[in-house]
Amino acid sequence: MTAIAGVPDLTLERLRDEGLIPAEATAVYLSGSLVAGLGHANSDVDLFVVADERPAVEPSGELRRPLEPTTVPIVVYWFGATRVDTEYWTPGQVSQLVARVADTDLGGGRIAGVDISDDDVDFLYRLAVAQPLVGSDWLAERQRELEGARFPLLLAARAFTEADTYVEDALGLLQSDDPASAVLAARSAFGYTVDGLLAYAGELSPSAKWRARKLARARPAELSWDDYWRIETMRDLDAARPEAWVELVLERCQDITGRIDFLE
Amino acid sequence: MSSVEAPKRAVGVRVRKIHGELYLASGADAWRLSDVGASIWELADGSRSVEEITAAITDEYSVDAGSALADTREFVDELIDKQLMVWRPRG
Repeated sequence: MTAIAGVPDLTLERLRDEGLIPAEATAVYLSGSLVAGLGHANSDVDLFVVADERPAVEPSGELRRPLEPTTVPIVVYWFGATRVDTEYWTPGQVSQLVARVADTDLGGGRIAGVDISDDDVDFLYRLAVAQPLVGSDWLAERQRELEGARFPLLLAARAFTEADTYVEDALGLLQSDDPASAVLAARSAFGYTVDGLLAYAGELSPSAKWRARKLARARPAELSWDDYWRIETMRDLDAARPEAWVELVLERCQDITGRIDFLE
Repeated sequence: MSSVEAPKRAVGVRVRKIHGELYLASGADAWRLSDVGASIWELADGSRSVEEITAAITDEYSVDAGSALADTREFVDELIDKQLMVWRPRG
């Protein structure tokens, strides 16, 4: 019997015995940073159950989403020292979210913005990188739908739109004689720009904490590790001339966003 | 404009590439650049004069040098007017 996510005693049978998995589940899958090859020593395990049935155990709480039905029960379970967060989605809720990506107009959205929430992105990323325990065919079909809907491009467009906002803020702050805040805004603009670049390269985790590791792994041609780390750590920031650093960073953001070919 | 100054892409201009074509956006306005326009945009990093940009364009697109200089100047002036480029002193 194979232990799940390298956690001894955590097996599909054990999950069933604990009442965490309904008898008629459409799919059960693991996801999150560990599955995406990004975890750390204290990472928890994210388990997703897709079923029309509710869990047999009492939920620890519920998420509210603009879907039908509107609630997603969650159960927090401890297997020894490992925390397992389990979310219970219906097949219909998953389909609604996948359709939201497919319906997103990347035409105008590439410049005007992309209307999809952080919660949506978080769930869909976890769906995209999931490893099935039950219902591998169902999961593979959902992952194909996401791929067909150009999910990485949507993430890139979304991150670049965020970056644009911070670029505008940085320039406004410089004009308003607030260089310290402009530096922070420029740093945020750069972060979102790199996130967009990495999403385009297939690194879909939306969490900023993995940015460095994702960049080291993806090695995009548009940004070397040295250039990235120099800006991320603000190595060249001269406290006497912060506006020069802000301009340099904003130029780099502009250069990167102009190199990514949407819908090539 | 004399060659002691060089055109430079203005920071804050939003840039996207779609189907290989370059789009610039500022405020609510957006412009699609031609292939030659995109090359001029790429070359306008503040280190090259209009004449040097024109020379590079002439090499790349095999166009007449005389008309290319006038066309490049016109294009740069248009982007300067729209505040998509700025003039920078050459170091």
